[in-house]
Amino acid sequence: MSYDSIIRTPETLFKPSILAEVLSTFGADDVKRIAVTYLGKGTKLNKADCIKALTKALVTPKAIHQAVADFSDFERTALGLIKLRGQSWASVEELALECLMLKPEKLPADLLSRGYYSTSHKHYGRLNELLRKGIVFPLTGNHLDLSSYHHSFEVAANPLVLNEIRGIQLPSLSIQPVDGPQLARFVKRPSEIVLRLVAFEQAITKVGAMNLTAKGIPAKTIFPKLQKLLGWEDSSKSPFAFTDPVAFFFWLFRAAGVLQFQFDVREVLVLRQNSPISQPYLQQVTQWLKAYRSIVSWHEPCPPGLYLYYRDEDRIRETTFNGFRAALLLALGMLPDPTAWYRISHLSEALYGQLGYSFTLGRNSNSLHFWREKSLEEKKRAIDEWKASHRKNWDSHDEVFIRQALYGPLFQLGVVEFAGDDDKPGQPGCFRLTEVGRVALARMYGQSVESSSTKFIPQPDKPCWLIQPNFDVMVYLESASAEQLSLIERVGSRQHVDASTATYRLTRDATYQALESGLNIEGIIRQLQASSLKPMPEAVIRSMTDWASRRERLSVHLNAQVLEFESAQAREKALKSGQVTGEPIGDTFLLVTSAVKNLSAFSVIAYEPALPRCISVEDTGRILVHRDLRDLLIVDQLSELAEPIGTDQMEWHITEKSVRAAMKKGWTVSEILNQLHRRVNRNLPPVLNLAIQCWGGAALPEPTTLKKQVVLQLPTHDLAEAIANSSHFMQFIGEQIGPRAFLIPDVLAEMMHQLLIQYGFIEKTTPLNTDNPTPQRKKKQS
Amino acid sequence: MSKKTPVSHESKPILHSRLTLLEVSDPELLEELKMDRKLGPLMVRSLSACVAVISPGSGNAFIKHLLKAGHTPKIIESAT
Repeated sequence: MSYDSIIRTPETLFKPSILAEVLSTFGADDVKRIAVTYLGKGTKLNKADCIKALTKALVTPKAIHQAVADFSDFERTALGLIKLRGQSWASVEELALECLMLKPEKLPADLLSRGYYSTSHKHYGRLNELLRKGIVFPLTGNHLDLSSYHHSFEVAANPLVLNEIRGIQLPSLSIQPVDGPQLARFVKRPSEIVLRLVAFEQAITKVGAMNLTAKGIPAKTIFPKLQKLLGWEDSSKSPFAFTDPVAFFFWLFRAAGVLQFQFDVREVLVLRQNSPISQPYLQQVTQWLKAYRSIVSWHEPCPPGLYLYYRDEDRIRETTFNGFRAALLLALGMLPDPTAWYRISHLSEALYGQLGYSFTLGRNSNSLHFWREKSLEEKKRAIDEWKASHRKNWDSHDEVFIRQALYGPLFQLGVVEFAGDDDKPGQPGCFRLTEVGRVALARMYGQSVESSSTKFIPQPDKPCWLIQPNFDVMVYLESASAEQLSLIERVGSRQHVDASTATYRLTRDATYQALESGLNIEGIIRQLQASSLKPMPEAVIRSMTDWASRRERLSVHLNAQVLEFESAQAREKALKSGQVTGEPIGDTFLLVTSAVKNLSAFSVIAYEPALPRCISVEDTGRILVHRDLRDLLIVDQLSELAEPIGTDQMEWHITEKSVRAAMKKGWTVSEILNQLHRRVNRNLPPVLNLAIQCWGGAALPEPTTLKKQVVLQLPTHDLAEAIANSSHFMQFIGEQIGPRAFLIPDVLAEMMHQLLIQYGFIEKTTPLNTDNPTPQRKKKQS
Repeated sequence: MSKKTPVSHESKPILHSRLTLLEVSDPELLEELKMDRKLGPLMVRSLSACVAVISPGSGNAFIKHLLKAGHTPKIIESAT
């Protein structure tokens, strides 16, 4: 079996039948190596027996427990990093670099005896160790040595193996804190961070349809529309100037699950229920950080020279940028003292120590050649030169990425703050984790908050705004918490923001949106009052309560289920039996409010994505409705276009009269045809299709004519052949329709008659008989 | 929009799924909405004096028109 034909997901991969198929696509040596991991070193089975034993062992908790007990610290920590994602799989790019952060690869000891060494795609090395031992499995392909040629986008771990991993201990990063700065000079206030996130969420809700192209990437119009709504522009020369923030937040929200790509209908859906914004600030930051790691298609501004070989449609998959982000975040989680200040250049150096000889975003000077050098001294010098060039390449590419990641997304998300360096106090050369950043990273990597040398105690919210009788709310940003800002962004319409205050207006629309997002009016008013410096004006409370009550007058049920019973008694009986619960509508309908049990007890008719095809149409115009598929709309729809036959509304007739009547009501011919095409269970008969067009007034390319023709029937073959070959007769005869029969056009019949008399083939007294039935044939042009 | 008596479907009830419904608190409001030039054509069947079926596939357009007309509908998305 081809490895590509095996459908495997993280959920199904470790089912014995699927696993056996996957293992069978691996080489015999690979399978035997995996068997050693789970069955012990003494295993000496052939490939087939190994597969049998492995499929059994990998679903047996006891066998798994024994195997995991022998895993190294590196292997256990790597598995822990998968588990901490809240799933049993991880992106290859992310996990590969995380593995290197846990266990860096050094330069080979035998470098001097080699003629060539390249860092290209060496970054899969540690992950490949896990793959080769069967600790993780590729989700595509059958290669356990990933490279640029043999790739899988994700790897999965056995959930039973992950169950054995409880808590991980991260190694400390080799980096020294700096003593210099005491105060952060560059800080992003939580209120600013939340304002930006909330504003973006509002923009994607308001922007309307967001479409995907045929390649599955966002249409070019989306970002300009969002930019217009947001009005974000940052043209400053500050190191924190955030280029292309709209794209960043778009892809961040997608990575967080708030935006979902619906490739089948080429649309981007907004799933506000997945939004971290409604959560407390600390939880938000943790979730945004995880999302940042997985952002695709957008990357930090980097200098030219990066090896970007992806096609547009591949950019929505993880790339090396995701790997580097994963490594950077893990490095921040591995800082020896999370409260201390560090130099960015030292962080870059520490990352170089972990990744440098296996990975670079740059493409220059990543390979070493020295076959031309002969002496040992020359080889050593070549290696030193290559190392220097390699490091220079890191500084000019990878360190730039690290700085841009810190100054951009990680600063914007409130994870880091900056101070000046000794020699350049005005430049943000030093960084430290913010209080929230420390806790968020500790949570992300399963470290106890205590071990991260910090305690995060959320401060109770203090009053921070004034609500005025004209519905304006003046917010004092200095004292506003992220939660308070999140609330006011939801219930008010932002009018103006400056350095210290923001003005919102409580409007009917904003209140409505807040209620639609799941808040209730009592809660909104209570929270507005709780944060208000002065009592909330009574008139404002009354208006808001009135706005909320107006919403109760009208409901739209999306994706509703309605049960239709034969009678009110049947509905009552079903309700009493507890088979269904719902709200009665009219005499026989029930709006279902909980999941329907025992679906087989009902005929099910779905109205989307398409209405049921419940009619058949004959070429006479007769329409039959199929009883089992008859939906709630078909009768109304047919009554617009056709005339009923009988009283049960199961049979209809579409006629010229019914089509004309429909057109008088405003239907067009194409609408009539579309309606029928959508509902007919087979094709609409072509003759009826054309008839409806003609009834609707469509003109055929040429007028249809019905011509009379006369049949010349000759008594013998000789005479028929003689006439057929006579140039004299030929000008009067049409198509030969039999061995002795010809069609004569009606207008030439009299002349032909005279000719036949003239030649003596007909008696003079024989009259021209044109009453014979004549077939309708087109005249053949001779 | 013609009003029809419910169809007899032998004894097995019919489950109409993935419908968009409009429910109002007052029958007069439903009649008022039916007269609206944009909303009326999208209300394709009445199930009662207060409930109408919205043309399949037009749910979002219907909500958009309601909002434009100054209404503030409660949107209830069924998870069933």
